[in-house]
Amino acid sequence: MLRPFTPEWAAAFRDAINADAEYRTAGAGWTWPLALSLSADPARGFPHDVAIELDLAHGTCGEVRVKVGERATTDYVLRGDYDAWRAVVGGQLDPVVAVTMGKLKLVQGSLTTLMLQTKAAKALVACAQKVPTDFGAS
Amino acid sequence: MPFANATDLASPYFQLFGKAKRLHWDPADIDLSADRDQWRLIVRDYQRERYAEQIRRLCAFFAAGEESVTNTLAPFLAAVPRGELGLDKEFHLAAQLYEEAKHYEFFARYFNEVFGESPAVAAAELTPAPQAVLVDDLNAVTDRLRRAEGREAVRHAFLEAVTHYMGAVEAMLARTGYVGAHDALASRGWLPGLQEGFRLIRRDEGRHVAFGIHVVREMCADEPHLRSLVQDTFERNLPNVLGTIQAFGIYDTPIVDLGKLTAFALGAYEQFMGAAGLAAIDATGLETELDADG
Repeated sequence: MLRPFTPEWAAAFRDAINADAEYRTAGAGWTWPLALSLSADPARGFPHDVAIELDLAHGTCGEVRVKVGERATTDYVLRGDYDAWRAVVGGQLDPVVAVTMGKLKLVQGSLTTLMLQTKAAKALVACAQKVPTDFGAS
Repeated sequence: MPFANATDLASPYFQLFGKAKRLHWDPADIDLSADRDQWRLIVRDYQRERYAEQIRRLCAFFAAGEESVTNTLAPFLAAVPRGELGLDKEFHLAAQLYEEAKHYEFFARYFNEVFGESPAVAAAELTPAPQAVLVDDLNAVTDRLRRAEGREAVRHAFLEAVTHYMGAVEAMLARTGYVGAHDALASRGWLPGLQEGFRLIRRDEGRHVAFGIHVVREMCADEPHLRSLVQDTFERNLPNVLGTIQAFGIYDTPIVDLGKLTAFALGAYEQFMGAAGLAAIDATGLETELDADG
């Protein structure tokens, strides 16, 4: 089990994306680097914001970068707190609904473009769900 | 015929006008007697689920929205000759204005006869997201249309207003809401008069949405640089559209399926973006569905 938003977790997430035939199809039209940004939560062991930057393009993921305490610089940045990411990655909260409810906020990028790529977003989250992740107790 | 030279009788807009004439209905004809009896039971028996509160809130959103779209459609009609947009569009819009007024009449009647209160209370139910997209921003965009001068400026303002009114409000919110609300009541066998009203209004909304899709497709095909206007209008409105749907997420047991409604609304959005040439989506799927609606 890997702790989320760590370099090991990010690498496993990238491998899951690149091994996933469904994402390769659903994400074929997504051509922008995306960051998943976690708000600082010292009680959960994250004293600083953490961003996982994924170089997504045409259904695959190139480089991944983990930025601690630094602003993400990708074209698209989705930001949420620990509980929101746990619910999304854990499958309890649909990623599109999470955005529409404001639990995940698009702090960088075009909402109109993101909302045309809901299948890609769901397939991407499905890849994250394949990574054995330990979010700890609620 | 005085309009024969100015109107293509085979145009999709004129066809929509023809359907509106054939599918006339009167809100005063809907029987609400069973609803009055059932409403008392829903209020009494579902306090924990807050179903009565949710149904009333849905109707308040619909009533306030229908009042707003009735108030704001006239500038579209006035813009057609100024923008040389075609008399066939004016025919459709004339029918649509009549229909919007009927929709508001239905909810006014429902508030009076079933909820036992004035429909004037509906506006106070709007939270910031629906207040913005259904009322304030819609007023602003139609005011820009009213003030636009010169053929090109009127045409651009018309496309922006159509994207907001028929795209964000009618396709993403109204039609989505009527489908979801009708399904919620039908699955429980509740409030047959309200169900019938939802069914008939949804059928009308289908034609209004079809009008919007045709306009967006036609204008963006003729002038591709206008695509950015469609995208910018949705970019501005999407947060409030999605926030309006999620207004029902505050309930532990939402009477409508929020995930399904969100997907339905985003499907309608994709079809508009497809019509504008901004998404690789064929809008004929929605048109077929709208045809099935009537």
